[in-house]
This record gives sequence, structure tokens and C-alpha cells, in this order.
Amino acid sequence: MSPILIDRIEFENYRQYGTGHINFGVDGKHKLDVLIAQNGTGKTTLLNAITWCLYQKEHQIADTKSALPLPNKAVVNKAKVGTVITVSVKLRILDGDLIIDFTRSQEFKVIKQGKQQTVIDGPARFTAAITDKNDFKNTVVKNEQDADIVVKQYFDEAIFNFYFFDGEKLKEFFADERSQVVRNSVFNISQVTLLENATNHLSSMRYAHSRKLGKNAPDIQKLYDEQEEERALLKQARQSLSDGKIAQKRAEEELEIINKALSGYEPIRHYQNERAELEATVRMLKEELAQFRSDRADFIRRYTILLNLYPRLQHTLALIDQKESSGELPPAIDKDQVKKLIDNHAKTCPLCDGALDAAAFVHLQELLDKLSVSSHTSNYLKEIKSTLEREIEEAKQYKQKKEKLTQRERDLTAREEKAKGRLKEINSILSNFDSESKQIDVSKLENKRTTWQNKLKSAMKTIGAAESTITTAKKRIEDLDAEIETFTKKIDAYNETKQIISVLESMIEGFDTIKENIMSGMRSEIESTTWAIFDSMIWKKNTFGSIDINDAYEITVYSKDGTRMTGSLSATEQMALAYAYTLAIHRASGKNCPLVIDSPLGRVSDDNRENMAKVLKEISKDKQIIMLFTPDEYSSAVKHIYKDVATVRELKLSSDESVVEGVDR
Amino acid sequence: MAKTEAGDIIYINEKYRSFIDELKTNDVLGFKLLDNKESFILAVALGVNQPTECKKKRFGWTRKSYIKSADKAMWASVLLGTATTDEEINQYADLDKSIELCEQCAETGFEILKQQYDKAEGDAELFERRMMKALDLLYTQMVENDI
Repeated sequence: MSPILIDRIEFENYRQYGTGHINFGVDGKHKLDVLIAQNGTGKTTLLNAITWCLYQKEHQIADTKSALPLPNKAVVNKAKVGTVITVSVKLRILDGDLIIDFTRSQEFKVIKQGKQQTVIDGPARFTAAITDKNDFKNTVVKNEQDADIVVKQYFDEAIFNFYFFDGEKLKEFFADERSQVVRNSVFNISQVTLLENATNHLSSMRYAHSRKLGKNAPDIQKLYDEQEEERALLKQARQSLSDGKIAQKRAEEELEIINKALSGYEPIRHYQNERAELEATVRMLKEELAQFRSDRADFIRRYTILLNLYPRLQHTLALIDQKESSGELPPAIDKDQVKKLIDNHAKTCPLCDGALDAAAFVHLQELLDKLSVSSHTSNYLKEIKSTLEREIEEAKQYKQKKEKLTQRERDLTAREEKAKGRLKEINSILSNFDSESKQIDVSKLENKRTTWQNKLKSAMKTIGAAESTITTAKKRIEDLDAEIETFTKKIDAYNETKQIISVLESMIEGFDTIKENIMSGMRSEIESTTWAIFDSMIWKKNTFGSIDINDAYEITVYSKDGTRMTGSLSATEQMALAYAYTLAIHRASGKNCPLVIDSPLGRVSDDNRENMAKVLKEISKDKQIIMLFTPDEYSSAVKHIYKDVATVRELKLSSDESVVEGVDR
Repeated sequence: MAKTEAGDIIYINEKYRSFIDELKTNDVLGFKLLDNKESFILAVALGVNQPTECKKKRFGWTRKSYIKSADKAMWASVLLGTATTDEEINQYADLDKSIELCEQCAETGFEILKQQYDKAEGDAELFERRMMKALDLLYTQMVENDI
């Protein structure tokens, strides 16, 4: 990728820079500019000038309310009251054949405040003028929001400090709140926003078609409306599940580190061991209690059935017993067969071939009257008898079985209370433990442990609730699909609209899958690039093993044996990681944007400064780097590395401290 | 003649579906892993003394073909347990007829279950403990005192 370059910055009445410009060295083999200035001269103000131009914010100012106004103080003091002073900063960017001039200007009216002169803010303007080098006559000028869009394409404000980098504020790179911002930015960088917009548009179309379908059938419309609600719930629950899993992983990792640190401290080892055993006991008891609750539920259901049906079971068994004792079960004679003989006026007995006379028929009728159960009934009753006996016997065992359950619950609850009680004691001892060692603050670690355990519990709750919602919502959507299908099947006219809806749903599903794949791909790419660059920057070759960037864009560094070690990186290693991550994000964005770094080696220890300086020099072959050093940072060793490759400029305040010298005017 | 599919199905009132889904989602009384046949017979037992015909929309819940030999005694006794004459015994020795009565008992039984669950305001533990307590009284009445 050919680099995008900051060619020039122009100031008009801007703070201590006054009116002037700085041209940057964009033509050499190394796109490297070094500006050297004492603290307080204006290094950070240069960063602020860039961010003010692009975003109308001076991001490096801690408290904007108490900061000095923008116009150069000397200019304000010299001006008459009522004069309007224009402050502007223009940043010229080169992108291949394109020249883009971002210009922000603002008017300030001079007023008197006591004995001093100051200013009040006036209207501001922002433009982006885009010129093709091959066609200077035709410049496209974009204003305000359109100009903001151009800025976003190059230097998304959400991740401005991955372009305009303060080496003193490394902590911000790895702060939790940054990771979500980075994630959103990668979303934008990877053009996933386009897919997201397309998906939203398709969803709107689907809803519009479903309304059409439901126009003459309010019942169908209600179903579609409910389906849309369930889909929204499902989407939320999926996000919640993802967030919960990330939080769970983080909490587990933090707890592992803390437990490891605590277990290494001898004076508390026996407490640690006891606690580990108790926690295992509590976990096991929790499982046993869950099993108990399941067994109890089974018991309640079983005995609700047995006891409510007991009279019927008993009565049925009594019937069967009565029939058996009266010899009717099983019947010695087939009642149906006898009835057939009588009804058909049979001439002969089918068994013995003997003639059937009137006396025989009377006898047969007497037999029939004696037999009260048919063969079918007999078989039916015989089949169920033994089960009835067992169930009645089981019903009678209610009290013994209940007592067993009750005893089991008492025993489990007592053991759980005992274990939890002792755990509480140990946690209290450790939370108040007075460590003699300066290396480990047991009480602090214990409190951290409790915090992370609570976070883990909360994450598990979130995961549980999300999984439950997902299951319910999915089932409800399926059920509604079936209901809608039933309704609409009857109406031919709806078929075409149904087909359209079906196609839209497939497209939405497809886009969702593509989005996930892109985001996953981007994350992997950033992860592997970060690792490759970090590994090349770091001189310890046997310590670091890998880097992991999770879905929330949180970075974890692992040692070669898989131990998490992000928290134990030295300042130099943090800097290297921050640079590596920055460069990886730049690469992922598809644009080779410049880096402006205030105090690039500020936190790097002396013996590593040369190494880091060399690495940055190497990077500048492919990417513009503008570095703002203090004279102390720009040691002779560093100077030696940069002397033949960088454009070096010294800045200092004028004798009356009103303006920065070293800027071209 | 082989049973048609329609003839094999055992129905419940459609209005109880979402209630049963809620019990499954919250795993109340072991409903999460309970098959429909089991939940049906539970409702039958609860409503056995007050059968009500379902006049609303019905929903296929389980199948007659799922009733195993070990289950048959219970299902059969719902109807047979009311027979007082030999004629009734012969008529009631019919599983299909028994299932028709079971459907009416379940109509009441699900309503009773829902009311008890609503009284516990969705607290599964409270609901189960109350059901457990009710069993003590039921045992005394049905088994000890043989009412």
C-alpha cells in the first residue's frame, strides 16, 4: 500500500504557533520527520492542532474549560477590542494522485475582561478540498458534514490515538473502554457497516412485505409483529451471550493469575489449600443438590399421580380381585363363542359335534348369564393387574420415601452450610491478612479476587439468561412460522409475497454470516499482524509465545508456556505492543496512514532506546512517521540513527514566549 | 383397521401450551426434560375428580401409541375405577374410552397446576414445596384414611 502522507500543516493565529507552516519530508526513502522541542514549547500543541483541524477537538488537552483560548495570545493583546481574529489550521494530505486540504477556521471576537483582553468564540467552518494532481483546475470542495466523511475515511476519530499517538499515555491502549471503541472502528474500517446497513434495509423490506400480507388479515399481522419482536429479542440475547462469554473468559483468566500469586506465598499456603478443597466440596455439593432437586421433582410428580389416582387404582384392583375370586377371571368358557352359538341357533357343538337340542340351549343361556366378563375384558383386566398392585404398594410407601428425601436434603444442606461457613472464615482471614512481604499484598489480592469472582458470577448469570432467551425466542419464531404458514396456505394470492419474504430472510441470514466471517477474519488478521510486528520489535526471543485478541478487541500476551503476562510487561514492551497493535490496525484499515508520535521513546529505558529507534526507522520506509522529541529523548545515539534519514527541525519559544520559532513563516 | 394418525393423537387445550413452555424454560418440577405423555398424566391425576370437556382450540400433545404396557394400568384405571356394574366393567375396559376421559381430566388438571404456579408467583422452589406439602394431606386422606 502506498503511504498516505501529511505534506504540510499551516497555522493562522493558532496558539503559540501563530501564523506559519511546517513542510514535512515526504520525498525521501524514509518518510521520517523529527521535531525536537523542550517540554512546554508546543510539541503536544502540534498534536492538538492536527486533531483540532480534523475533529474540532484538541484531544491532548486535559481540561478544555480551563485551557487558554485558541488565538495566539500576542495577536489578541495587540488587537483592538471588537476585532475579529480568524484562527485556522490547514492540513495537506497526499493520497496517491490526490491532494486533500483539510481546513478548519474559526472566528474570535476580541473583548475586554477586566484589565486583560480575551476573546469570545465565533462561527467555525470546515472544508475538505480534493484535487487530482493531474487536473489542478478541478478541485472538489466538501463542506462540514461531507468533509467529516472524508476525514472518517482516513482518520476515524473513534481511534484517533492510533494515528496521533502520545507515547506517555500507553495505558489508554489497553483500557477496557478502548477495546469496544476499537471493535466499532474495525467494524467501520472493514466496511461491515455497509453490510449492517444492507441487512437493516432488508429487514425493513421484510417487515413492509409482511404488513402487506397482513393488510387484509389482522391475525396474520399480529403474528408477524410478534415475530419481529422475537427476532429483536433474539439479536439482543445473542449479543448478550457473546458479551457474557467474553466477560467469563476474562474473569477466569484474572482469577487464575490471582490464585497463582496467592498460592505462591508460603504463610498463607495452608489457607489456600483448605480453601481450594472447600471450594471443590461446595461445587460437588451444588451438583448433589441439583440432583436432589431433580429427584425431589420426580418424587412430587410421581406421588401426585399415584395419590390422586389411588382410589381409582384401588377400585380397579378390587374389581379384578372380585372377578378372580368368583371364578370369572379368567373365564373357563369363551363368552363370545357361546353367544354366537345361541344367536346362530347352531345345530351342533363345535367342540364335540354333539347335537344341540333345546335343553342344550337353556344350559348355554345359563352359562352366559353366569359369565359377566367377555374375553376382551378378561384380557384387559389380567394385563393391568400386576401393575396396579405394584402402584398401590408404591403409593403406600410414600411416608418412608419422603422421609429418606427429607433426610437427604437435611444432610446436604448441613454439609453445604458447614463448607460455606468455613470458606467465609478463610476469606475473611485472608482479606485482612497483614503480609509481611512487600512483594505480595494478600489483602489487596483477596479483594481483587472477590471482585473477579462476583464478575464471574454475574457473567454466568448473563450467559444463563441469554441462552434461555435464545432457546425460547427461537422456538417462538419457529412456532409463529408454522402458524403463519397455516394461515397463508389457504390464500393463493399471498404466495408471491411469501416467496419474497422467504428470499429476503435468506439474504439477511447470508449477510449476517458474511458479517461474522469478515469480523472474525479482520480480528485474526489484526491478531497475527500484531504478533508478527511485536515479535520483530522485541529483543527477548525466549519469553513471549503469542498474542490473543478476543471478539471484544482486548489484547492478551502469553509467554511461551501459555501464561498470561499482559499485566507484567515492562514499559518498553508495552510501547512495542502499542506500536504493533497500531500498525496492525492501520494495515487492516486498508489505508497506510501516517503516525504522529509525541514522545515516541519517552517510556523506553535507555538501553532499549536505540533498538526502538531503529525499528521506527525501519517502519518509516513504508509509512510516514512524524516524531516529537524532547532534547533528552533525542540522545546522541538516537540522533546518530536518524541523522541521514530524517528531516530534523528544532522548535523553541521566542524570547517573549509568544510564538514558536523554527516554524516557516 | 389400522388407526389413522388423527385417531392416535391425544389432545390438550391450546391455551396451556405457553404455560407448559414456561415450566420447561424455568425447569419447574422437572418439566425441562419431561416428555409430553408424563406431563399429561400428571394433569390427568390433578383433575381426575372434575373432568371438563375442552370447548376451545385443541393441540396435539402426545400419542396413544406412546403408552407402554407399564403405563396402561394407570390410564385404564381412570375410567375403570368408576365402574360399578358388570356392564360398565365391560364397556370401560376400553383404552380409547379411558383416554377420552383422561383428556377431560387433564383440561381441569392443567388449570389447577397453572393456578398453583401463579399463586407461587413464578417461584419454582416455593411451588414445589407447596406441592410436596399437599402430598402429605393427600396421603392421609387417600391411603391412611382410605377415603
